[in-house]
Formats: sequence, C-alpha cells, structure tokens
Amino acid sequence: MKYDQSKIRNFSVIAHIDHGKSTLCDRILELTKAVEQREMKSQILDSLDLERERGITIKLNAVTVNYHADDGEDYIFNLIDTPGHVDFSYEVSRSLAACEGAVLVVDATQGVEAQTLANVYLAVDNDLYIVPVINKIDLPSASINLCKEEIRDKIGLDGDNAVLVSAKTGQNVKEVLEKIVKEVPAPSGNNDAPLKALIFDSFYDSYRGVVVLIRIKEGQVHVGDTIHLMKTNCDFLVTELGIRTPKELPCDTLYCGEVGYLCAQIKDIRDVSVGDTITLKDNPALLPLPGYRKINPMVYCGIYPTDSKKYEDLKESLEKLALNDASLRFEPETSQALGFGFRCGFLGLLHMDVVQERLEREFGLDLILTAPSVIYKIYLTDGSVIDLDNPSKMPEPTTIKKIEEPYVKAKIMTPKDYVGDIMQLCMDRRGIYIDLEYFDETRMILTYDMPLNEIIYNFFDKLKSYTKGYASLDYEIDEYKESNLTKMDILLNGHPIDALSSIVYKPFAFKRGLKIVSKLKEVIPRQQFEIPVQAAINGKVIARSDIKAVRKDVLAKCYGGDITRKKKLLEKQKEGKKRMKSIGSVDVPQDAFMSILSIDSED
Amino acid sequence: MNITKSKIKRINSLYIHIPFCTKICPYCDFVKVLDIPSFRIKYVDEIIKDISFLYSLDAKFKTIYIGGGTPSILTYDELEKLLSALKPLLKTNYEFTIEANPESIDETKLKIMKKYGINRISIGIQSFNKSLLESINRDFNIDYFKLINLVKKYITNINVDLIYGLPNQSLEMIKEDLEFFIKLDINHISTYSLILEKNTVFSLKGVKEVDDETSRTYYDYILSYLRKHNFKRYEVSNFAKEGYESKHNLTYWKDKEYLALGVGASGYIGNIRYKNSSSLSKYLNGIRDYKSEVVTPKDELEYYFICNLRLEKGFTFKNFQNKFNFDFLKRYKDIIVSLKNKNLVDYNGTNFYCTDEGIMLLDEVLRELI
Repeated sequence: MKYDQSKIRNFSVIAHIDHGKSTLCDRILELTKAVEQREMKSQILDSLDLERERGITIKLNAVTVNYHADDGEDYIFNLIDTPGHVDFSYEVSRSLAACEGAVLVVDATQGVEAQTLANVYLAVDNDLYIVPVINKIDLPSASINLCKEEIRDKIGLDGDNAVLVSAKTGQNVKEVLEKIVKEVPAPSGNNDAPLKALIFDSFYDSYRGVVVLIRIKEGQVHVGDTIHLMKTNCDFLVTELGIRTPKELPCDTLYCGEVGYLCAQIKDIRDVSVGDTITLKDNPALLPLPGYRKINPMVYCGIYPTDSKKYEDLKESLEKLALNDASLRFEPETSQALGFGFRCGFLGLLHMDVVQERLEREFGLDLILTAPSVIYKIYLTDGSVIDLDNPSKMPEPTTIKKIEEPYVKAKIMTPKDYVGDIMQLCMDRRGIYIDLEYFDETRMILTYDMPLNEIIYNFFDKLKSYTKGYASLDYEIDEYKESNLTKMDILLNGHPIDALSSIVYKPFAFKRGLKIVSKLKEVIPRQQFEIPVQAAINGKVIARSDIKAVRKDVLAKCYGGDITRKKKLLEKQKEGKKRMKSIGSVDVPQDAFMSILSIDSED
Repeated sequence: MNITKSKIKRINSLYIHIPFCTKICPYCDFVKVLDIPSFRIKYVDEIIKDISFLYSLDAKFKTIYIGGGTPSILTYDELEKLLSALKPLLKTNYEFTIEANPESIDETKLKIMKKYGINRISIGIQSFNKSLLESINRDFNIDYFKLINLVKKYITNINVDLIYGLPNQSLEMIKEDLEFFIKLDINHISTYSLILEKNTVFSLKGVKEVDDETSRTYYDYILSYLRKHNFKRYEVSNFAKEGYESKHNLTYWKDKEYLALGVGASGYIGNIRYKNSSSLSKYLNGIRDYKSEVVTPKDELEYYFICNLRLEKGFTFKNFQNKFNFDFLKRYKDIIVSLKNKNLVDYNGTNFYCTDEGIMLLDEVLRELI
C-alpha cells in the first residue's frame, strides 16, 4: 500500500483487567484479516505464555493492520495493546506516547472501575482522542444506561457516543473501526523533517541482536541509514525495517506516523533505552522527544541463583529482561546466607511475580527470592538519612533517631455490603481512614492512608476474599511517615539468616514472629539434627519453634525388584535437595524465603 | 533377553517367582494372584520351559531362591516337578531357599523339599499376636512351635519374618513377639517395618505408617534384643547367627548379577536390569515380555552404593577398586569427611560402612553419594 500519512491511525486500547480488551483486539485483527482464522489463538497479542495462562496482559505489543473503511479508502491501523493491572501503569504510559487515540473499553456488567479511571486520565494527559466502547452487551446482566451515565459522570465523555459491542460475538466491532477512522486524528509530524523515532519497546533476538519497536514522530528511516541513539549516544547501521502484522513483514522505509520494528545489529542491550529517540547521524534532529516519565520501583527483593555458579547467567538474563521491561531495576548484592545475587526493584508484587516466572521459564534459572521490602528512610542520630531497601542492612538501633516508611493513598471500590469488613481489614493493616463516598447506588469508594508494606503482605488477596472478588484496589504512593518499626531477625540453628530478616511494626512483632517460626517449621524439611527456629529483636528471642530431627530414613525392604525403583526415588530426592540452599548445615527450600509473605498478621 | 553361555557363566543366583496366594495380605505389593489351580499347573509348566532353556546354556547356580506369592502353596506333584527340574542347576556347596507360609507346610512337602536339595526355608510368621495377625489377614491358627519343630526335622536353616509398625501394635507386643521368636530357636530373622505401598489394601484403607521416631524406637529395641541373643545384624532388616546369612540375598546387596524367572520378577545380567511383565495371562500363553534398562557406569556406581551400604560391613576398598578402577576414598573425600563428622559412616583399613546411626539414615547417606 502506498504511504499516505492521512490514512494512518495509531491507537491503543484501555480497559480494566477482565473487561475484554484482549478479546476486542482479537476481533479487530479478525475483521482486518490480519490473522487467518486457522492461526487464531485466543488472545493473539498476549504473546508471553505467562500472559495467556494467567489471562492478563503484561507486555505491550504492537500490530499493524489494513482496514478497508466504509468510505472506500484503505487505512493503516497500528494497534498498541496495553496491560491493565495496577502494577503496569508505566507500560501503559509508554504505549500511549506512541498513539493519537485510545479505545476505552468498559464492561457493561461492571461499569467504570477505579483502575480504568487512572488509565483514562493518563490518556487524556497525553492528548489522546478517546473512543468509548461498552463491551459485553450480550450478557443478561449488562446495564448499558448505567454505563453511559458513568462514562459521562466519572470520565466526562459523552456516554451516548459510546459504541455498544460484544467482543465475544463480534457484534458492532466494525463500528468501532469506523469511529477510529472518522474520529481519531491522523498522525501529525513532517515527513521531510530530520528523523525522530520514539523507542517504545525492545526485545532481544539471538540472530538479529536487539529489535526495537519504534513510532516515527518526524521524518523517515531507510534500511542502510546510519542512526544515532540520542540518549545513549550510539550509532548503528540499519539492517532491517518492517511492520508486525503480527507476523514480521520487512520493508525498506518507515515513514512519519508509522509504527514498526528496526534492527541494526545492536549487540549490547545496554545501548538501547526505552523512551530514547532515534535520529539520523548525518541529518540529526536538534532535540530528542520528551520520552517517558521515569517511574520508581516500589518493592524490592533479593534474587539469587540456587546454584551460586549461575550468578553470571542470572546477570545476563536480568539484562535481557530489562531490555523489554523498562521498569525493572537491579543491582548486585551479597548475602551471607545466599551468596551473590541482585537486589531488584519492581513496580509491585505482580510485576515481581512475572519477572521471577519469566527468569525461570525463559532463561531456565532456578531462583531464590527473598521476601519483598519497601524502601524505608532511616534518620540517624548523626543527622544523615539512609534509604534502606534491604532489611538486613538496618543500622544498629542505637544509631537510629527515627524510621519512616512509605504510605499510599489506597482507593478501594466495593459493593456497599462489604464496607464494614474492609474497614476492619484496613484497620488491622494500620490504615488511616480518610474518606467514604458513594460511587453509585450500590458501590462505595473507601479511601485510606496505608503503609505500602501492609499492602505488599497479601492485602489484595485478602480484599478479594473478603468481598467475593468484587472489590477493586487502586493506590498511589503518597508520602513517608514516621512509624514504630524494628528489624526482626530469624535464627536457624542459632545463626541469624540475613535473607530472612524483615522490618516489622513493633506492636505486631510478637505475633508475626510466632507465625514466621511456625511457618518455617512447616516448610523446612527435617534433617538429622534438631533445628531451633527463632525470631529475635535486638538479640532478644521473641518466638521459637523446633524442627525435630529425622530418626529413621531407610527403606526396610530392598531385594532384586526394589533396587531400580529405589534408585529412581533417591535421584529424585537428590534433585529436590539440589534446589535447596544449604545455609550453615541446614537445607532450606526456596519458598522458605517467601514464607513471610503468606502470613496473615490479623488472624 | 539375549542370554549367552558366556554371560550366564558369571551368574551365581537364580530367582523363581510363584505368584499364587490363598489370602492376600493387605500390605503386600509383590506380584500375586489368588490361587486358581488350573493356572497354577500351567504356570509350573511354563517355568519348567524356562528352566529347560537354562539347561541348554549349561547354567549352574550357587543359590536358587523360590519366592512369592506363596511357593509352599504348590501341590506335592507340582513341587516335585519344579524342584526336580531345578536340582540339576545347582553347583556344589549351594544354598537353595524356598519361601513358605505356615498354613501350607506339611510333612510330605518338607520331605519333597529335602529330597531335591532345599536347604533353607523362609517362613512368614510375622507375629504371634492373634489380633494383629487377624488385622493383616494372616491368622492361620497354627501352633508355631510344633510347626518349626517339624520343619527342623528336614531343614535346619530357617528364617522367620517379623513385622513391626502395624496399626495398634505396641512396643509391648513387639517385646512379646521377640521372646517367642527367640524360643523358636531358629538362625535367621528378617524384620520389616510396615511400608505402605500404593495400591495395597492398607493404603486404600488409609492406614498410615508409624512416624519415624516411633519406628526407630521399635527398631532400636529389636536390634539390641536380637544382638543380646547372638543374632548379628548383617543387613538393614536381616539378622543371622554366625554363618547363617542368606547367600542368595547377599547377591542383591553386593550388587552382583542374578537371573529371574516368572511373572513380575526382576533380574540383572551384564549391563541390563530387567523386570518381567506382571501379566499372568501373557506368561501362561508363553509370552515372555519384559522391560529393561541399560545400566550406565554412573548407574552402576549408584546401584553399588545403594546395595552395599545396606550391609553392616559395607564394601571393601579392594572390591570397589576392582569394579570401578578408581580410589573411593580419594574421589569422595569431601563427602566422606562430612558424613563421618555427622557420625553416619566410618571405615577401617579394608571396609567402608555405615555406622548404626548411618544405617538408620541410609537414604540421607545415599543422597550425598549418588
């Protein structure tokens, strides 16, 4: 198709988790015949196995399709998918920066959710044109009028203008495409100006090096051009350009307004930084594009290879992951118990989970993760302040003047029947009540100031189970507040294990200590000797539980026929043992380090 | 199975499996079927076919072991047929064992056994406690003293099995049983804690094994009691008076080759470990189906440890060096030091072995060595 800037539409799809975004994207791809029916897996754009298994979108993904519109013209659509989870709003902002429009999907049975609001505001901030769509109208519980009102009252868009669709059946999906043609503006920018291309994603390919996904904001790029990366200050020769349909379709040139991929034999992944601007070496742009707001990780944990020889592998894998996960941070650290590893920063717990699973699956690593921690501000008596992201590095108590921890403003939307339970839960988690307001006739929004640390510990799961899954949570980092905190050490066989230290709210310490030691007793296998497990604060033991010694571990009968089976069993046990970390003389399984997480402080 | 004359020459032991039983014990996971006479008759004929094949290879064995199931269930004719076929396979100075259940032994059978050279018998008594025997479906209502005295007229090398760790079995009951067993004045005792295997009646009923602490208490009592009465433990679960160790079973524990005939039986020839199909109908129809695995040098080493370290005397450095061509102490130095520090293993000028504690935690030792 001939290049015509006025026939390009770049848009993303915004939706709350489960509101049908990926299904709608699938329908759009079908309608534009980007994907043959026989190739159609459910939810094409969720390319990670993990995404398809969990039914969530984590990584953004871009696809170029042709659409023959009712006006008789052919249009190029660049559809950029976005994740819907609270942890990944950074990825959302990245994809929005490459678009002129956004399709907002609202579930007709659920209405507008707190998380949707956050993403819509992001889109409005980016000057995107918004096409509201009400999905799942085929369901009997759909309340379309209510949805329209909410779109008007909560977002400030004309609800009557919303397209009513069922992504599941495909009903009215074509109308969405027509709206995009008519209402979303074509990309601006000058095709003859010096090149400015925004890198909005990248990944590593072992044959081609780093593949970057770009949106051309100004000018054009050709195969054979020498490009200049403005932030990292590197030059490369373009070897391949193309669009993803979602199959890769190479081309010679990408023009202003277009979205595509670029390869330039970039071997070192550190040379590419998402948000950077690509220009031409010979005819450079004066200023780079604004790029992205850098976003800071909220949650930190230690990641260690189970086999300490795999440290270098872990390093390489983290570097590769960071390439297409710009929000991942990592720095080397050493633990007495776990050896060499990395302290990694994440946007939230789901993000942490996803990174762990990707490292294990895509890179075949065996990992130990320590319990996550927030960043504490430690004010010392000498007037200095430390940002503490690792509980084991807590300074001596006598040198500490005060400790502050990050608080979040948490907005919980819930059917009103559960308000009492949720208030109790928030109180148990040291929440400070701020506000309670009606969202609509049946739902309320509770606002609390809460320590981020309390949210990390299993709060979301609790919230869901208290409300049969109806509540939704959105939070934003607020400010640091002084708290009555202390470090709790865990001793195995009399030795403190740095990787098991945590920072606790003093009045909760005794209860939590007791729970941790009994949990560890459960997860650490019995060994040849008795192992005391103790929780201690400032050297004083506050809880103890003993793991009894194994007294007999031998097969009574072993004759001709038993030997092969016996050998297989022992080999399997040996494998399991290898996956454990030997600390002192105690073999500790991987999940022991995370067990602190699965403890409920309130019961 | 490709068995050649040269291969069979090295093999000293032969196992024959007789799968029939009149009652099924709720903990048993050996290949066994309820006794059906017509099958049994045919089965003996099929076994004899296999034995004839061994004739053609000029096979001779130092030990033959007929196990089950319940071999003593065979009728006089069948026993005569089977034993007379086996007799020519024996070398001089042999050990020829048959397993028997108390209820199916009689004087005529003992006479036949003696006639064809059986010189060792293993009797599954398990316990003297009537209620316990009922719980394991083995209450045969038999005077064991009379029975053993009758057996002794024909076969003097006698093993009895003693079980412990059954539901509702107390240490007191074990003590009583041990007293009875000693009074039988026999020369070999095998004592097994109850193991719950999958697909046994007990496991389906949800019976649980006693915890390891209790099991160890029982075992320690049995060990010291039997030692006091001149029984030497020579393997994890086997006790014998001086000179009465089971030569056949030592074949397994010294990781030597053995041949096996009959349904579900396992053998080890050259670098192949095989297990015959458990299908009785296949066997009766002349089909000799089996599964086999090649034993790699690494496997061989693992099997060597798994088997030999069950023995009180472990293995000799000389034997190890001959078999694997490297120095055990040198290669495993670090592991040995750590195991020795934990008091699990020890060695002298000739042997490497587990300590009393190490034998009880043998799997722990093996997980380090393999």
